[in-house]
Amino acid sequence: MTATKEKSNKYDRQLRLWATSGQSRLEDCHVCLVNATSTGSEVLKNLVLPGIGDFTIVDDSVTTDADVANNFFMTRTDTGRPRSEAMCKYLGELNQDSNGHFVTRPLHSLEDGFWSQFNIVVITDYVASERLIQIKDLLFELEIPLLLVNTVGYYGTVHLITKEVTVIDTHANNLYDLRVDKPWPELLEYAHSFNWDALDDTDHAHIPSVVILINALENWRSHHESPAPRNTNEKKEFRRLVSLMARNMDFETNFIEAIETISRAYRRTSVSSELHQLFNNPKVPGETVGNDTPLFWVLIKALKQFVDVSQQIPLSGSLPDMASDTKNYVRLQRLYREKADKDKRELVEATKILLKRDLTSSELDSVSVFCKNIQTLHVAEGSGNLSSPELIESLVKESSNGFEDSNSNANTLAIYYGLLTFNEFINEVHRVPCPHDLEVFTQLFTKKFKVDHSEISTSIMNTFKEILCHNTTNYINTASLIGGIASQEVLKLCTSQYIPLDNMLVFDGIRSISNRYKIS
Amino acid sequence: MSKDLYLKKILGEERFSLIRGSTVLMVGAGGIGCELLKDLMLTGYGEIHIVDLDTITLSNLNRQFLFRQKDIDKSKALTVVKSVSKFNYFDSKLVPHHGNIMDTSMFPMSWWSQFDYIYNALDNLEARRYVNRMALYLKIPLMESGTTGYEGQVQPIYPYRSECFECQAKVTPTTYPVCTIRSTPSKPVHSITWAKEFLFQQLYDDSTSSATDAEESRKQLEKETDDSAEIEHMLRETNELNDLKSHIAGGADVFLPELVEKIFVRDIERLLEIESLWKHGGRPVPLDWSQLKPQLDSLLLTSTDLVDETKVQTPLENLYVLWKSGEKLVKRVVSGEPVVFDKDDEDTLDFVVAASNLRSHIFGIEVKSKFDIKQIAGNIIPAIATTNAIISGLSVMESLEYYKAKDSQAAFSNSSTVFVSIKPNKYLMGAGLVEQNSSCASCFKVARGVMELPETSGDLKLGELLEGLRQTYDYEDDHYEISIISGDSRLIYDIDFEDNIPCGLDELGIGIGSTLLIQVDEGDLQGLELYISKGKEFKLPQIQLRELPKTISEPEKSEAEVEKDGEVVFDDGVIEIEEIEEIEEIEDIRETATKLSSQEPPTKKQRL
Repeated sequence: MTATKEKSNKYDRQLRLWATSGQSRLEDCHVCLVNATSTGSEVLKNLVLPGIGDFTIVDDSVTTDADVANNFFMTRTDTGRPRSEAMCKYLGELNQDSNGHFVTRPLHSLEDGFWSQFNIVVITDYVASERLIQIKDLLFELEIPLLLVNTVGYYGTVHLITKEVTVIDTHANNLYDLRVDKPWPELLEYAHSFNWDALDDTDHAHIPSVVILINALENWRSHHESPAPRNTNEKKEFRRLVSLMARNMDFETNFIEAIETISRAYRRTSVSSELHQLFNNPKVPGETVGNDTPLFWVLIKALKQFVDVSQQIPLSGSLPDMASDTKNYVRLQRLYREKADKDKRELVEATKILLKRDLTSSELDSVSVFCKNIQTLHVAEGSGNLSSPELIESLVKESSNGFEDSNSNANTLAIYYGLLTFNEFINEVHRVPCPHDLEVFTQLFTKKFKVDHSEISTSIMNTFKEILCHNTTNYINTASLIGGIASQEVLKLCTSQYIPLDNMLVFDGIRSISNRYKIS
Repeated sequence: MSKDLYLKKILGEERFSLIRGSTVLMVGAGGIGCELLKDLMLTGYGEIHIVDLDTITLSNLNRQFLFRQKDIDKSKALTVVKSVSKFNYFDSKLVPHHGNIMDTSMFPMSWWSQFDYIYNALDNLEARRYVNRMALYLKIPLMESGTTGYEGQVQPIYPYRSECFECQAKVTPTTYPVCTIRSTPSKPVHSITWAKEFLFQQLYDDSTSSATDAEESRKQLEKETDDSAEIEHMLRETNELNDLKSHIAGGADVFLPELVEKIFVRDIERLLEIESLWKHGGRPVPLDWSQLKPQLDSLLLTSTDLVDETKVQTPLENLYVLWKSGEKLVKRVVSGEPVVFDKDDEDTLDFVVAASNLRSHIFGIEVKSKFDIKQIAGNIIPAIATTNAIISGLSVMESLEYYKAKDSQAAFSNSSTVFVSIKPNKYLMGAGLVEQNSSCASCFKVARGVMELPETSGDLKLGELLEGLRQTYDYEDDHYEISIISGDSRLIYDIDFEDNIPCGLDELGIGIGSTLLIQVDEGDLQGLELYISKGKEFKLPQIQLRELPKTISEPEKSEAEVEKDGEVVFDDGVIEIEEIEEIEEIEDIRETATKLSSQEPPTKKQRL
């Protein structure tokens, strides 16, 4: 077996999720883990197995018996050895395609330049506040995504900190762009090519539903002012119009399908407001495009030019399955594909002019993917903050207005703030908080987040109590789950596919739920 | 001991000691299994049995972290246990079994009864159903779990309390009409099915009996179509293929040209003669074999390697692949090696890929890459470590409710079914357990028990069994007529079929490990399923059969109710989010579902 073939067989099950393009990006990635914890080993395990290029573990402590008890990737014989070294060894054995490194120097001794070698950094558990802020701010400026991952007892949080996330290949459900209301000339010509009355019954029952709808809409327009049915009455009338075109509404599956998918005729081909918003984003380059302008924004610029001219977006070209015969379906498919290809070529030309050069083959691939995903492009503005006034406000408000679950003694946002305070406590008191520390713990919380003590509701208090009662980090089942979630986020960022977390997630293992929040 | 400290704190002393003393079964040592074993061990379980019949393949290594390259072809069950031995911090006793969980001699009822809890980490419906049934027989709680790509689910099952695995209907694979596959394909999947299920099986695979007699196959075909010309064509096609098969012995040089000529030229030409099939177009075009042959010959002289499996290939390239794989397959068949289609067997896959693409080409259907065809032909489900890690963590976490609860009601109320997805807002969604479904044939309409029988089952006549049944379960007093059906769906006895009464059970193929289903012919009494286990003497279990509630046909749900139930929320495949008007509604449903699961205690009625 050749090396390439062996690799594609080994990674077969994941290539079906992110294809070779995602895989080669993953293989170019270098991820850094700060703190060799159980959750951290779960994160790295899930990245080494699919073949991330490099991983580096930064940890200056030595393995203790407590580490071995919850970290699968350490054994008793490792006690006394550096944690980073032990974990690196076992994780490295998982996949020879992945290169493991470890650093035993303390965080404060690492110079700024150290961090720029990574594509993504993951910090699990406690890091001295001062150090955390420093690393976080540095990475934010370098535009290297940082994931903060914490687990305490049955609770866990994952927070993605990065300046900006743009994704072309979101794998979101794209809407079929069929242009029933605005058929281009070739499609219209094909739709007119059927001689309805002359067709025998079989052929009549094989006219594709899109063709039926195009003709019906044209017919409707000849009697109405508006370009498409707008209200219930008009829609009722249009429905009747379509059924009248059928010879037998009980048997002609294409007409049945046309009625079932009748809203395809109501859909207006237009440029969405989200896209217009994107065009106005300050990131969109002006007439001159710099060498460092991300391809995403160059493509947005090219798309804007395309839209300015044609008032439409490039056609994606995908066609849903339809009740028809092979001949007509293939013909229709070809029409959509040819139009999509033509639109794509125009976008490629516009991009070339903007860049003043030819596109590389991987850039050409990106344009193809871009054209298929224009309706579902993802852009998220990030922030470097760990907390925000809005979030504090909703923490206090949500928990006081009785909105929360009456049977439960927790609320998920309180979990997030509880875990931040947990690390803050370690920073101040130099040990893990215990149930009898509730008062100090609460004071720390009020001081740090400028909340008045009177605003702390029962549910916040119950959550804090729960945290202090089960005050161990890296409980294996939470670690496995949160590690899984965090590594999934790393995979999305590495492969530039799927929509990453925007931007903070809380897991509550007592109620088996998760909630997402945006920290601005 | 200090090493237990952290778990005692998390789980509580009492629960932790229960777990330390617990014996559990993990069925499946694959994607979820590897992760699950790690979590179970670090949660401190006393004894863990691991069952898997599979061996390790290369494509497992991207997620099944307890296996290495050197372990390929070794037993999964034995290998996991070996590779975790040095990480066994809590000294759990690990017992591997390399075998099929449905094997009743390897895993008799007595073996099953040792377990306190069962964790399923399976990849197929049949085994899941079987384990569910065993859990029902013995009332052992079961954790069901599964993943597909980024999606996954865990479902705790408390027998006769919560929904069992069969309470909700499962999606079964699609089947295609024979005529579509054999005469009028219109989609890539039709060509693939033809190549894999018909062509490949007829030519190489002797494990399935292809030699059904002509009358039988004619009857089968007549059920599918009344076009007699088409039936004649299909029968002739199969006969000729069988004749051609005998030429394999003559070697590839003889066999392959004949094969191509027949299936891609002659069969198609004859198919074209049946005018009724082409009334509405879609006429196939036979392969231009005379022109392609010389090109193929010169291509065969070079050593072309078509490496990129994601590329769509030309007819000539497909012919080349057909030839190369055909040569190897012929050699293997001639050497007497049994050949069956396997997606991981490169020769068989190549042959099916090339043949289906050539057929698609002939019928004007989209030609697919090897990568895509492999997924369809091999029923491949994408899989990664991340989802399995999430699901296994949830699986153990949810099961711990059982060890915490004082009674089954508490365990039932505190447990959740949890879904995992890639949707940005819906990483995890939990919902309270639902009570058993009153129309479930597995856990509601049928009662279960273990019947004991000495090994010499022949000593017991069916008549004696009948007598025992009638007395033990009061069938006679209540004037019920009963029928008996064996586990493999054979009718053993009913009022109109008394021939077997004098037979010993062994003559009827019934023995240790068999199951019997006893049903009343009329009336609403629960059915009874008996599992036959080895005992000293014939003994029936004491079970009080319930009267079933009169079946009232449920009024059809209005659309609004369906939405409230949220049944459509999770399945991307079901929702067509194509139309703008529909999208908003779907968003609403999702919103509602989130609110339900995140802010309120999930109600029992909420079906997720």
